[in-house]
Amino acid sequence: MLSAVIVRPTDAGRSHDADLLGRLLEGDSRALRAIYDSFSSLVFGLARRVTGNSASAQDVTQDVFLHLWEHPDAVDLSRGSLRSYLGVVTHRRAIDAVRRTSRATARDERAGREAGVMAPSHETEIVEADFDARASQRVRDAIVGLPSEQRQALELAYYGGCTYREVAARLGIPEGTAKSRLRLALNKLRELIELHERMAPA
Amino acid sequence: MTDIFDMNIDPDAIGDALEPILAEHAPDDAFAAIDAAARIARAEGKPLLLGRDGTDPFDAFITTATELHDLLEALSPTDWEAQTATAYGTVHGVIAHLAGIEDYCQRALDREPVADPAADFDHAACSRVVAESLRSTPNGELATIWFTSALRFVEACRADYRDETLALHQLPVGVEGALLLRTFELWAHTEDICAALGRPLPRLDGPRLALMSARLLGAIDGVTVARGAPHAVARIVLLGPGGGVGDIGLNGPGGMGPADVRIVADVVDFCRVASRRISGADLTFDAEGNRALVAPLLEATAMFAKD
Repeated sequence: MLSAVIVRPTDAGRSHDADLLGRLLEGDSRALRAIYDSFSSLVFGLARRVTGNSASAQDVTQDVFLHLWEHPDAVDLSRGSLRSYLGVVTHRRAIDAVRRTSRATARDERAGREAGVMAPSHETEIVEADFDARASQRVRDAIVGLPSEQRQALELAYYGGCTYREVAARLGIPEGTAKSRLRLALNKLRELIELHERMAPA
Repeated sequence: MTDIFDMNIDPDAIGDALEPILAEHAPDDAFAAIDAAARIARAEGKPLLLGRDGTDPFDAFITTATELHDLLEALSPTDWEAQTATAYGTVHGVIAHLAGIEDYCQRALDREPVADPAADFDHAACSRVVAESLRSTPNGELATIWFTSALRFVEACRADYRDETLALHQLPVGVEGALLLRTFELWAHTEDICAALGRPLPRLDGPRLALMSARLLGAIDGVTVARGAPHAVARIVLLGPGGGVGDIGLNGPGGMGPADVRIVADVVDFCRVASRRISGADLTFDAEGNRALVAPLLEATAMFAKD
């Protein structure tokens, strides 16, 4: 029997997650509503932090929950909780959204330079998104600015749903090193988030 | 706010700590758009069926054999001598057994006499003659012998015997069914070896799990779980990549109509029950309805495991 060596998530809510995912597989839209009610704030908030834009965050939120409805079998509870999974997918899709916007912005700027004027839609967008962008930029910068080994450890731990032991195994480093990288990463992230909160207008 | 630095670090603790920082109330009308799009993507009440994205049995066998061979190539001489929890002893013994099984299956395919007719019905015994002959074969050479014969077997199945039926342990089985049984076996022995060496257990990919779980349910459809009991319907909901929903009949084939019992479990663990790597009693699952049907159903799930 192999049960002793099968790695189980520490998630006490695994049974609840399993129930909701089972119902999604069966096509029960009430399960989608229940999952949305539990996690939409996390998904929307994370998406807004990364994109710096409420409209983009709403698009990402819609994509994430629609993807879950279409592919509930993509969630592997042996690797992490439903919340971790949604965090991973949200993060990836938000990054994709930022990249798409950056590419579009670059195109607009090129077109503007060629025409000798700034594209009006781009100008309007900058004014509207300025506050959101500045507010979220620090968090993005905090994550992006972490040393790569700390960022990798944090991403595996939170967005990848790994325990520090699994982080150590995945990165091929001792468990103590994984633990200290995570602590350093979280420490730095907290400092930057607090700085952001202090600087934000009341 | 929770102090994340006083916590034992695990993903849910980090998630708990970060959630209040990250969470923001989504616009009130956001769900309406999601709900509308979801209903277009998949109608309410329409299940995602098991096996819908499954690979074919030939590729499943080749991929699983290749993964086992890759594992063997990475083993040290000490690893090869590690004791497994199987009847075949060491890792070397397990691979010698598999080489014997490849020989047995190839003979069944070619309609040739088996090496030991008296042991034909017994999976372990029918490999013994070949396994004994390989007892002193060096590790790397043994891995090559087994892997080469496994690939020869699957290529023969694909090229010449695709629609044939062969007799395995005196039971008639189609070529695809035979490959599926062999895939289960290779995966189970890969897990045996990893467990013996303290390595993480390999997880099959979604397309293989989809194929294996769907064919497994097809094979147990109609199984008798209680002598003389009326026909019942079981809904099996398997979670994770390769998972989906399948309805089967109990005490007679056919899974039509409302389910008498609904079981939700991880797709890998359900397959492990089928390969007898975990017992039905050790399976983590949720069940609704007539729970008395669950234990005999899980027992029936493991009836094809020959080890």
